[in-house]
Amino acid sequence: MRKYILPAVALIALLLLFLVGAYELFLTPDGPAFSETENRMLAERPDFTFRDVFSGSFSDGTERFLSDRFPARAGIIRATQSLRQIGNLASLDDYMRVAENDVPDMQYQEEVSDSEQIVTPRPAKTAVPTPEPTPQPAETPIESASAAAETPSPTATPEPTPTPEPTPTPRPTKEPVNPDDYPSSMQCRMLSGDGNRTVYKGEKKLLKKIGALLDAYASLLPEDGVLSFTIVPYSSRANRLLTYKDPQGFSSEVEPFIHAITADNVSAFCTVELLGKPLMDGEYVFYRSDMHWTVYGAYLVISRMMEEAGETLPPYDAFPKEQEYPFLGTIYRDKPTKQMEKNPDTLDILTPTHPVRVLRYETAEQYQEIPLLDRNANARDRYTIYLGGPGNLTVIERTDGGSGENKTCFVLADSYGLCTVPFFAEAYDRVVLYDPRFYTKNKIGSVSEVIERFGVTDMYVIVGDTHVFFDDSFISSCNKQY
Amino acid sequence: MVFSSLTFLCLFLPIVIGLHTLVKNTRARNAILLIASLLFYAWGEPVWILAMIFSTLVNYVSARVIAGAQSQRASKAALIIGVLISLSSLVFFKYSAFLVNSVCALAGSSFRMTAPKLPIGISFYTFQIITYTVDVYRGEARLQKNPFWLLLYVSLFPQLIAGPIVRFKQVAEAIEGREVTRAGFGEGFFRFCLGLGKKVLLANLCGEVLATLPTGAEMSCLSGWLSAILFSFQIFFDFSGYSEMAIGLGRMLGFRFAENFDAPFISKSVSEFWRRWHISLGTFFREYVYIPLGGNRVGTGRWIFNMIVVWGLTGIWHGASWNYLLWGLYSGFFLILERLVLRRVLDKTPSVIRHILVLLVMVASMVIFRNESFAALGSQLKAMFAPWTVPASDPFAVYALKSNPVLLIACVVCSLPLRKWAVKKFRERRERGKRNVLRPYGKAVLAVLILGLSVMFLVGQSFNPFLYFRF
Repeated sequence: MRKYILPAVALIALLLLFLVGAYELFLTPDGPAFSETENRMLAERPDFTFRDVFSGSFSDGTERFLSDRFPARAGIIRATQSLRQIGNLASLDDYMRVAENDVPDMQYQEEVSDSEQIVTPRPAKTAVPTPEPTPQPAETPIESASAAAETPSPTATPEPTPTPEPTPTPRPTKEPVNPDDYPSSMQCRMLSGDGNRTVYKGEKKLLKKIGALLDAYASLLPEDGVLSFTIVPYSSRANRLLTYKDPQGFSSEVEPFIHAITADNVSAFCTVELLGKPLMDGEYVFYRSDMHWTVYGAYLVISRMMEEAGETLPPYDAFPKEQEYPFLGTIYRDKPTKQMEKNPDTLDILTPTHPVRVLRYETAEQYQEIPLLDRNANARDRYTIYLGGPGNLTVIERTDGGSGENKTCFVLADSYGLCTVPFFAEAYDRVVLYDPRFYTKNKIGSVSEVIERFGVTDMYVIVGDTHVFFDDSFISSCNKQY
Repeated sequence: MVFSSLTFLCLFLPIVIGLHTLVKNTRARNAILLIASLLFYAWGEPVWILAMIFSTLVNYVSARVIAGAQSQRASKAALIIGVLISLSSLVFFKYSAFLVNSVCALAGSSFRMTAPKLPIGISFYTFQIITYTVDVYRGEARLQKNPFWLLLYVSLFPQLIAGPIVRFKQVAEAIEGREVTRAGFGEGFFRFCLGLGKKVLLANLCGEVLATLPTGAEMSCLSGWLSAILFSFQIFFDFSGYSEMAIGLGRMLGFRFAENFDAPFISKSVSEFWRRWHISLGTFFREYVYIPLGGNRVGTGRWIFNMIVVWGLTGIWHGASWNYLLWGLYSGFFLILERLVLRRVLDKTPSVIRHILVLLVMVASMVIFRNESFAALGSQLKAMFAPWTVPASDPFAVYALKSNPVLLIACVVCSLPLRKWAVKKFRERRERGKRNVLRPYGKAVLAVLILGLSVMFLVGQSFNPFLYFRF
């Protein structure tokens, strides 16, 4: 009997493995699926084409599919994470020291493939996009939304004697600069009596690439349109300033360089400089247990960015507000500790003062209405209560008729942009939220087309430092999807 | 395809093992294995299968000419042509860019050649097919008249892309007719699970931790040493795990492959280390390069020359880069030093000290192996051996050390010859007339546990590089 055990176990194990493989291959339902734990779309069944087979992408796709759609995958991942915590002797302080020193510093890749070529700006525009001559069919929501925004109402009567438009204040022209005068690498530093420490740094080549991308976006805006750009640091790196002797704030070379080399209608703001004083004054601008800025921190920066576009936000307390306490965010999720449990965060949940509806597009023709606040958001990442987390193209529009000016802003953001939605929705009639990580160009179209269709008047680019400096796939995605 | 992938574990392996077990006829079994092996190879890179088939055909023809040659001269010419064509294919794919760029750099030219894409496992299958032709020439292996069976030997999926380097005479009989016994099948499954665990649970996790540590000039003394130790473990478990999976799969299919690793980290001399590390490669170079050069039955000067040639080739076999050549020469240097100078001293040195010295030499060799850039190599060696020039520690190394004690302990324990000790213990018990009642149950539980954990770690794990693909 004993001599049969091992071969029998081997056969049973192989049979079980085969059943899992066959189930995945033939019985897993098609279609997109999202992993909340990893905050990404899971792989779909690869297409079987000769081209894909010969290029090797079919085999890669099959492995990704089998891995991503494995039965009970989320539970298995949680179990492996728990297993890896066995015997972990590192304290929260050890972890935070790593987070603090894990300075984003991406080495710019000189060789870029054709698909990653830097986009080039279009010729400067002189007017808002020409309205469509005829209304678009109702089944194309993106286009019809655009058309509604741009087509004059048939009942509107033309002004008999047009009043002269006030002459707009000319935008100050930037002094031309020579990028060669700048160092090959630029940094954002925190300043303290203990000495200066790097928050993030990037090579000039990378920053020029970002500048070219911003110029390309800005060229799509109308003449008076403004593009505002900012980099948001990982919260623990910014908070670390307070642990140093005699903290003196932040100083960055990165944003001034990008500001200097871009077009006149592009402004780069330094979030850490804007939030440095409030941080040192004890204001709650970065979470402790979560990687993001607080909603209040976001408000301070967004309101400053909006000033550049001529918009004014009401005071923070004017927004209808709820609070969630205790809030334990992404840092706690990765490194759960008693220390953090005893000192949790508070999540402000704001809404605009007027009603809005939120549409999430899956294709250019298909969208579904989702709530502004997802009360069922993942308990392990409640920050995603805003819009239920990042997704494909999302449009937030006022349902009370709006300001009548059809002001539309385009917000290019990663997860740092989620909590800014109430502020943009407050000031603009329509907010188009674009996250390159989830955007599907082949289904929705290029971003430049979307910007034109919606008649975007201003644009905001809000990106976490890790996406700018750690991993150039974010910037590459923007280029590819442009 | 690699063994440590879900495609292999959940689809390829059960189907192939199932079909092979159901069919009893050897020819049908060979046909199944040949098709499966070609599919296995073609899964990632279908185009390069032609290079492998071409190399096999060339050596098939060479061997037939050798066997039918009327004169020694014709036989030798066929051997040289067959070996040269096989080696030229390897040199073109693996070394052409390195050679051209090195020459251009020396000549001051700015021209740089882009390296052609390297067919997976080319270093392994080229050496295998060369052993066949040479062994036929030497009369140590019999001619395989069926080209498909020769292709099966070259492409046999368990050892195709990462060895061990199997000589034709070791599997010739099994190709003609083999039996899969229950005991062999069970033992093969057990060895496969052990190897999978080494690869997925140890090597991959070491690689993950390694990726979090600073590199180059940012290394502290602690991160320098930790990186070196982790990389040594990673490469050992990666390669020995893969070899163990190959041996296990071979047993499940009725083949017996020789052991490729024998707990090298317990060695007490550098020469012992190399007798225990990548045994099949060492055997190849000994049989086909070192001994034809004269081996050690020559004067000291000539012997040193032989050693430099063999270890230079061993180094460059691992990759087309100067650091691999340096790594090979470094290993050869210590072997020469040990034999000519240190042998008598070492004989009188306590075992513990000898063991520590060998570990130091080998861990330092892994630093050379890892760093293709000489600047990075210099930084790491400086961090390790000139600790006063760098900070003692850094947050990344402290965190890696504190958060992975179980992994580090597991690596140390699993690098010991536990299986060998256990087998010896069980044998002794049996010889004393005691029954090992729990042994099969224990093996079954251990195999299932390791397999289950490995599958769990493979699910959702995007980090699964296989280091020996490069060679």
